[in-house]
Amino acid sequence: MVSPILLIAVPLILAFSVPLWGLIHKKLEKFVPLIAFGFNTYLIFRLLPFALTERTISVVIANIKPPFGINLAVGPFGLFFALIIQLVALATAFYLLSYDPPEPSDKFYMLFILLVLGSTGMVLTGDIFNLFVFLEITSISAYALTAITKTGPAAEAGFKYLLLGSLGSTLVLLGIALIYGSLGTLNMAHIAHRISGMDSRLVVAAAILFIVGFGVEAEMLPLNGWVPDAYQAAPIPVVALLSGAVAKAGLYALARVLYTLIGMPNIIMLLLTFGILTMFAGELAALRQNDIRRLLAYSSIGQMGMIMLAFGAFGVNSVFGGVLQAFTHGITKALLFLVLGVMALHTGGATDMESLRGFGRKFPYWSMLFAVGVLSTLGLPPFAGFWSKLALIIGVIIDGHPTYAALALIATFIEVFYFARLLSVIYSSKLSPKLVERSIRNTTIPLLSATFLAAIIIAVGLYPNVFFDLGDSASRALLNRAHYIFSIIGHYLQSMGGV
Amino acid sequence: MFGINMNPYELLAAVFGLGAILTYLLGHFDRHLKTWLTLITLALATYIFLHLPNEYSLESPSLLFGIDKLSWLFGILTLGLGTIVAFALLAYPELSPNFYFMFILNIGASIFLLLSRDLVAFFLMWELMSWTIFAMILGDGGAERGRAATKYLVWSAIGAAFILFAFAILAKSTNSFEWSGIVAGISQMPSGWRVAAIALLIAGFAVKAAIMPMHTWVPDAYAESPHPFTAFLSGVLSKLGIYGIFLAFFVLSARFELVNMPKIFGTHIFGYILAWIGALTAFGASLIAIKQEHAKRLLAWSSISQLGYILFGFGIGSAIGIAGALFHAVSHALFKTLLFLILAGVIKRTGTDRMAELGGLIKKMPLSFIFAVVGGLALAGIPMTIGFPSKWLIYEAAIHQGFIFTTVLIFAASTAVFLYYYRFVFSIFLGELHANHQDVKEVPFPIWFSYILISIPIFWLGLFPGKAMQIFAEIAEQFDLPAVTNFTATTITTPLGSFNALIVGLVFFASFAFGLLLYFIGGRTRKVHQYDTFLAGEADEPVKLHYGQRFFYFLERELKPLYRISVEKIYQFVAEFTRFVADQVRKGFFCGNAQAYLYYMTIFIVILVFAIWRIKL
Repeated sequence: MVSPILLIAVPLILAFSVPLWGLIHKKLEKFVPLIAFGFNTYLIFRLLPFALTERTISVVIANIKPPFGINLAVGPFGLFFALIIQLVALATAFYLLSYDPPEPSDKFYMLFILLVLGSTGMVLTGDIFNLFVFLEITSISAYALTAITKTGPAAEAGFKYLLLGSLGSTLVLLGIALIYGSLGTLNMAHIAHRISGMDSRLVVAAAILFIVGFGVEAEMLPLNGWVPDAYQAAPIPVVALLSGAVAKAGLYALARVLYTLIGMPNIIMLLLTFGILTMFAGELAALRQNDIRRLLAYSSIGQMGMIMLAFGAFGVNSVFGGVLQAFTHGITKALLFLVLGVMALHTGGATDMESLRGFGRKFPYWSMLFAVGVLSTLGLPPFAGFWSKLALIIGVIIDGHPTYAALALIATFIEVFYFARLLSVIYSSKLSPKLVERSIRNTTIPLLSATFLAAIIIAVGLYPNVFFDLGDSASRALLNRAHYIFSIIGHYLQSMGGV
Repeated sequence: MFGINMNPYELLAAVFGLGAILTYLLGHFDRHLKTWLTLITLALATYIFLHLPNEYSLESPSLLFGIDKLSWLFGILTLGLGTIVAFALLAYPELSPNFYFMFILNIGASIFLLLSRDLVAFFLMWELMSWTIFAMILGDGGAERGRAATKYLVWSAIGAAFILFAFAILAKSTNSFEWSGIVAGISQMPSGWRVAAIALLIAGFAVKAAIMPMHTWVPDAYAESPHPFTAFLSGVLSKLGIYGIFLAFFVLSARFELVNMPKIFGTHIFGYILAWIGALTAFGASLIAIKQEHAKRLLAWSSISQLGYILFGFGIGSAIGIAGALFHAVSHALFKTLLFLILAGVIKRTGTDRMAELGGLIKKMPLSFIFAVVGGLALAGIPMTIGFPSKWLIYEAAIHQGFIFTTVLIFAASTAVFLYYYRFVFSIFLGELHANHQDVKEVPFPIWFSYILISIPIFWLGLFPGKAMQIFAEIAEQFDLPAVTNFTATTITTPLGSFNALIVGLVFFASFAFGLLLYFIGGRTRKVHQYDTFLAGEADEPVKLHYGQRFFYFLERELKPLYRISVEKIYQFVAEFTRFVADQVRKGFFCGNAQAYLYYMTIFIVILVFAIWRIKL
């Protein structure tokens, strides 16, 4: 087995080597993310067979075994999210080849790699303090990348994100401190094993702090005010990562902490309510939104709400639907944003509906890619979104929450409305005067990268078997708390006399 | 074949998939190639469809397919009428390859929908069928088309949500995703959930079947979709909704003891409600059809009305009712496809479907006129045509069951058919020719040939309904439903008596021929020029005296209170309200003020503390 540590170590080295590459030739910088994520994707595919089992592998760092040393806990659930993050990162890194980064470009690429690295670390780590560290790496890179264009709106959006995000991470740190103070351990498996002995009031307090802290990244309802501004102001490749990597990592952390660490069904089921509220808020806000970037941002909130709902239903069927939906949402939103970035090249940067009216008449292939993304988001076959949405709704009902499933379905009516309107604007016969025939940049590379994502969506839609298997083992792994504990610190518990 | 060892089901899917992709790719090279490729695809598909083995299961994702008499019947309708519509498409080389791609995909999805034997396969095909319609309505993207397509997709999503929810309930309670398992397990379901699931399914399918109050997308979608495709949309795709209702109401409910429910006029209350909904749909829609100014909208409302008849027949649920409803589904598929194709031809030649701007086309388009009359006869249920036995059976079922009020409504709706159809034929083909239409030609060969192709079964089943009755009896037997078994090739016998369609048809034809004879030998006619008009004895400026605008104004005036009832107003209110809330959320909640967001976070923590306090400690 290849060591999963390379998933973090290699990009880390490459990230800080970006300026060196720039010294050789300025053009070389933009290949660094591609090399890093290309390598990571290769590693992930080597690791995927393990994701199909139910095993969680503990990767010991510095030869000190958990619960004492720092370790990675590479299980099906984490690998599934790492797969999402890597696929999005790979497509985006490829897209970057033809992208003029905001200056200073070496810092842009560095932060870009760090952002992905942080999210990957979050989903792979077995140590709660490392979870916090990776959260900080992710979110600080994300704040910086949001504001990197140094325009007014970007700075404002970055500031809002920073304000909410840093407060959130502080709360996470507080939660960790509460747990560490009571249990004296930072290993997640060890905490999970011993949490039943902790004062339940402290556990609840920690749970609240975690929900609020990770909720910021996971775009949970009252904490997602930064989302529309950041999505609108950040450079397009960063936006693709915000929904494809950062939000997913936040969601992973939320699920991991609530399911594995806290493990109280009552608290997990709070996610049902938050999920529904988030969903409605996102979809309603998107309903009358005319700027497509903001529209997609709100839709992203809505989709994240739907995934949270699935995680809140606390059952293997709904979590199965939830992880599948996380996958399709990550890939699909990345596709939509990348295509939107190219659309904006043809309108001089404008992304409102009127400027893009009739885009589909002039650029049929681009619009087809966009339509694939939209139809997949709406959960229509033969795209990946069909299977995930079907699994999610049926799962939530089978796990005994038909009311929430019905509410989720009602929220999707709104979604269908604005996406249908969006498609009818893009395929309108009237042409926007802002549309130009040729974009200022060659669009071959973005085309390939968007085609790659669309191909994933269609391939998964037509042959969902592997996808189902991965989702199945991921959801089982999340719910099987005892198995997780045993895989990581089983040897330790045995040596302690099988406590 | 070709040495490939493929299951016919896989082959069928491959034919549709490859056919769609090839048609799309090669369609860019030649204007007519795409239609021919479509026809070849459909011909191959029909051949395979007729030779399908009984069952086929796909391992993973585990999907189950199979064929029985019911799917055979609807499948033949879909493929047959699809082929005929595709043939008429030869006259429309201007439609884009996208359209053909979606059209083939749509037919493929419809066929596999009919063949599916488990819920996931059914829902998969249902959704595929639904959104390809959206793509075709959107088409070249006029503003109105965009609006109609959006409205359609939202309604389609509502319908799909009902269906999905019901499927999930059924799967949860019976632990099975297969139809057979659900039918076997449904009697163990708690009765409340059972009724809810079936009601939801019927409501969901009613969207596609254009049953009131789920019909509001229909007039817009029909008016804006490509004209030849409207024929398929109304003729065939609405029948898939009917197919779904049949499954939900008979296949699922037949096993549970509807008999134990309270009865009204010998029908259990569920069926009675359906019959009322059907009758109200039939009546209301035909009233609205009367006052339409656009021919496409007129036919759209007429479709809604006729689909109401079918639901009415299902609601009665007796042997005659089921046979009549199935018969009417077939007959509506045939004659509405014909009528919409005729209208497509008229629009192709004149460029409008506004009835006030048409008229007198009988001289220019005699073939179209003749077939418009044929379609109208079938629509009105006149003997010789398929409409007669199908409507007759529904009337008989209503009378036999003793449904007084609904029968009145159904008869009134039938009268309205005469009114609006007379207007359709008169405003378009009779009266005076419009000045712009002096050199209009007959529709091109592919279109009028498709008229002939559809008219064959219209007359054949109208004169010899026995063949169709045989199939309906087999379907009824397959699902343990009461069946009309007393029939010969031409005669159908019911408890109310029997009728011989051939004799009735011949008598009718004889009297028609007699009238025609009188017309030719009796009347002395003098041919005058269209503008040779005079008023009060005075020859005035030549003026066109075609009566097309507000044709039934006198009726509209009398029926004003009825027209004021509109379910659309409720939907508009809901939409308005949603928009209002949406604006509040977008502008009020996502206000862009960082301080406010921090307040939210604080409040959220407080709420969390209280929420957990209540549930946990």
